[in-house]
Amino acid sequence: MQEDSEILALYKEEGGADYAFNLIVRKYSERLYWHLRELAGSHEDANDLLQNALIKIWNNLPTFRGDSRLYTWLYRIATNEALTWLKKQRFESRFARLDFDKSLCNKLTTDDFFNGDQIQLALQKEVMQLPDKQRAIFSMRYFQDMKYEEIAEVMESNIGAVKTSYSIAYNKISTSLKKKF
Amino acid sequence: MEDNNNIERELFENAKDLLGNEHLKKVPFKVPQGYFESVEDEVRTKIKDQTPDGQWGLLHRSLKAYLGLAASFLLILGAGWGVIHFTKFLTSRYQLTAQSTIDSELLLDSLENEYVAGQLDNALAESSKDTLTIRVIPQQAEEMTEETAVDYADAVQEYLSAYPSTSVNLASLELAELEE
Repeated sequence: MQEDSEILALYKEEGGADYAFNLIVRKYSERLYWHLRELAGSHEDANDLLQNALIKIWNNLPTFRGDSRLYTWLYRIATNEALTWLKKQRFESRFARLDFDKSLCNKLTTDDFFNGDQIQLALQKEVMQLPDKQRAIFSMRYFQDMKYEEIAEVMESNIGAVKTSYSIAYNKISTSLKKKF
Repeated sequence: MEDNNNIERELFENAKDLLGNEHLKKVPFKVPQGYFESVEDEVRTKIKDQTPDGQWGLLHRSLKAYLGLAASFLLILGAGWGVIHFTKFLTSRYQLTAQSTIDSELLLDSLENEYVAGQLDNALAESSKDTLTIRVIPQQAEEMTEETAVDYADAVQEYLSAYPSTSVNLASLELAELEE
């Protein structure tokens, strides 16, 4: 699998843009998908978000200046896509007087693509109830094992704030799971 | 199933730190067969469908135009109702101050209250180690009604009290008239 620097160099070569983008999709789409899956709550929505994010990545590659790592830049685009979508879903749910968080948890219970056990289901439900940005941070740290520094770059925040947000989410979920099991 | 039951029993017995168990860190979802292999082609097709200015195809743009007209009509109706309903509150503006010992600007971001812009003072920059003062003040352009200010105060209090940690301490929450 090519290094990010090699992919970017290839992108800048004449005629190399398409192939470089294909390499990015092959290298990162699965990881981005699993991250979006934790935020979206269903395969269909995660798929839509992934495709929209990849299209945005294609459209914005010409303006990528290399101020951040390619890896965190990709995650930033995908995460922002999800956060914007979640905000919109919440707003529309409020208008229709629906409990969006509850509907996310309900999706889990009836999800054909869930193949975990009871405690994993309980964990996922707890994660779904976190505030959106905190859920994104928790997903990247806990499930994706990303470094705090990388997550801070993705969230355009500082390491201290990211660590605190993760710590609060971790303790909250841990306490809640202990009460249930 | 037998393996899953054994894993669950082990997790319950070692309940000190459930989340520390590697089993829980595995993502418990699957995808349709061949899904990841198809992503590249699907995205490529969608990119090709984009017109040169980055928008979608003709059908999509037409649809957007019609939806935009419908949305404008609803907005005009809604704005009329809003003017009649809210004008009686336009004489008062409120400043909301919340103090807490939470150390994270992301927590306030997470409140996602559509009426209030967050402003965070980091007490770590000062002498206090674990105490942080958070001032949340409505955007100057926004005018909070009494009802929405109270809703916000309730949301802040509920949000902060949701975290079972001794460091979370809502010192005070007050609503006061803005000083002109």
